[in-house]
Amino acid sequence: MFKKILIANRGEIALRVIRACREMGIKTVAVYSEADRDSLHVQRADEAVAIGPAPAAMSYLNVDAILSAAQITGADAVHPGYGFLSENAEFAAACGEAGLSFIGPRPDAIRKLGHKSTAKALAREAGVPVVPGTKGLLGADFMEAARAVGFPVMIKAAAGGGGKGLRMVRRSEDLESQIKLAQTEAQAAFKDGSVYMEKLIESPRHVEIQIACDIRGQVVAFPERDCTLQRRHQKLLEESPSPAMIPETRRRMQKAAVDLAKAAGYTNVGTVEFLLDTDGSFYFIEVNTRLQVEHPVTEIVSGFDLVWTQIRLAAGEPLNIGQERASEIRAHAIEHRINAEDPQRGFAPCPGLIESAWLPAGPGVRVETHIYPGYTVPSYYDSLIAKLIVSAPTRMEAIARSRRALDEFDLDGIRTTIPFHRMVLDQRPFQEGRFDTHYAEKLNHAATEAAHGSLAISNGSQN
Amino acid sequence: MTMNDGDMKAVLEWLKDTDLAEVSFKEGREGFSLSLPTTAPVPAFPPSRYVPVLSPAVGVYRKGSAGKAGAADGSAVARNAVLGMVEQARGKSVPVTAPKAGKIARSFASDGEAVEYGSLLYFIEP
Repeated sequence: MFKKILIANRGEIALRVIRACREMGIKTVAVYSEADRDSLHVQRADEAVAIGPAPAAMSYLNVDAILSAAQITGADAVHPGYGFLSENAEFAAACGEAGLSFIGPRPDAIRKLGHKSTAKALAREAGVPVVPGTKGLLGADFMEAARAVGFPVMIKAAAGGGGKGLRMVRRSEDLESQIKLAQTEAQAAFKDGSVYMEKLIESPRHVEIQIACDIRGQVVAFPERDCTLQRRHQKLLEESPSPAMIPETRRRMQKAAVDLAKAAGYTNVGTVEFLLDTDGSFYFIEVNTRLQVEHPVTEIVSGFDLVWTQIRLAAGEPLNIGQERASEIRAHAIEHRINAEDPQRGFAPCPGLIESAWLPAGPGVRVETHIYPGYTVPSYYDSLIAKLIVSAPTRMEAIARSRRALDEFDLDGIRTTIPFHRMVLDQRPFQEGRFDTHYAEKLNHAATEAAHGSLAISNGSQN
Repeated sequence: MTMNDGDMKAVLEWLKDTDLAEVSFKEGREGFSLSLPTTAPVPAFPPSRYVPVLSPAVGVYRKGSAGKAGAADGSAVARNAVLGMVEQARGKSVPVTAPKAGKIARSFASDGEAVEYGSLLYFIEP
């Protein structure tokens, strides 16, 4: 087992790893930028090393600085957390070359699964369903292709992104003209008019499977996490199990995740993300080759510590559970991401001084945070300041518990997403589990409109 | 004992006359404490005549450069003179240079010592 682990990260996840290390009797080294001098992870680690100025490129993304910090402190392993260098194959390889164990998958697995297109090809080979579509570029046989995929379809620019060359087609009679439009747009935007076709999943849910794999090739898959409540691909709330899941689909999804992990020769923990359609079919999106923000949800549902697992697997230990144990669902868990953002102003970041903070506690409540009264949220990094995770025997009880815990959560000084979470819990579609990945955006839009509307009325009455 | 706002005001006025920043009174389980906003400026220290040289990187400090011994305490250095190198992992070295001409008033890091970003390496007396 490792003697001393350097945590190449900051914020709540650095603290989370420090806690796991302390429980395992492993010494810790925190690294920090100039902006994080007063951060809690610096105080809680056994040692702390300043590695650079505030911008992440010069500190938390600076490979030479992090490796040097490991060298001067005598660390024997590096935990990358999430974000920053956690999915960087070159960093994982550089750790190995410097004689450090990288707590994560091997660099070649990160490379294989890190790029969406190579990961998708691997998924196809492994028999894991991907969103139906043309394998290559769209040619003269577009009508047959569309019939095979099934309407509605999306026409997408091969070279593109950002909505350019993107067309939705619902009826076969519109297909030819829409393809021409997409090609013209793509040509103008990317100097490349080639397009491809994909089935449009109109009302998808985002559901993911946590996997753990040892170096002998044993793989287990945990119950799913539902991360459907998101805004512009930023997850806001995650829960497990998914209110939209039936046991049969769960088993198929777990098997798909295990098949992909085996095909990639994956080791350590990771997450396979899927789109779940309303008819129960699901499609592979991507693999996150690291610990995820929402991992506590799975820890609660399974009663299994994923950070201990990561560290043990990286040290070469075999998995100490089988699939049957991993599949157990022991509770319902909901995670609320508390961000220093103003939901009423399009979730604009709100860094600043936290004047006072009272964190919720009590039955079924877990808080992962690095904030404290008097802490200033720096503007350089992401706006996540706390994760509130609640658990209860059933989903409805968990929702009631969330409400209670959010009411107890008392933060002064900065705006946060707490009011947004309270609002979500009061919505019937959320309570009934009937919502898709577009829901949070629509809900927040409606709430903002309503707030501005009432403001306009009160201004009017004053005049 | 009971106190009203008028009594408190009298105490506050008295407090303002003194050079105290805070006063508290306790009798049994009752009491109060008053403090004045610290409007008085913190006495400014005279500016230091020394210019600090901080480590630009984390790593192992090597005095001097390219076979030359490092500057000893009391020796004169030119502006931008290389005082030493921070050796990093993977063979990278980051030079440490004098921000001003002067003499080395004191050096803080010895050769081969581990330093972090921002560690104090020298004071230069311009």
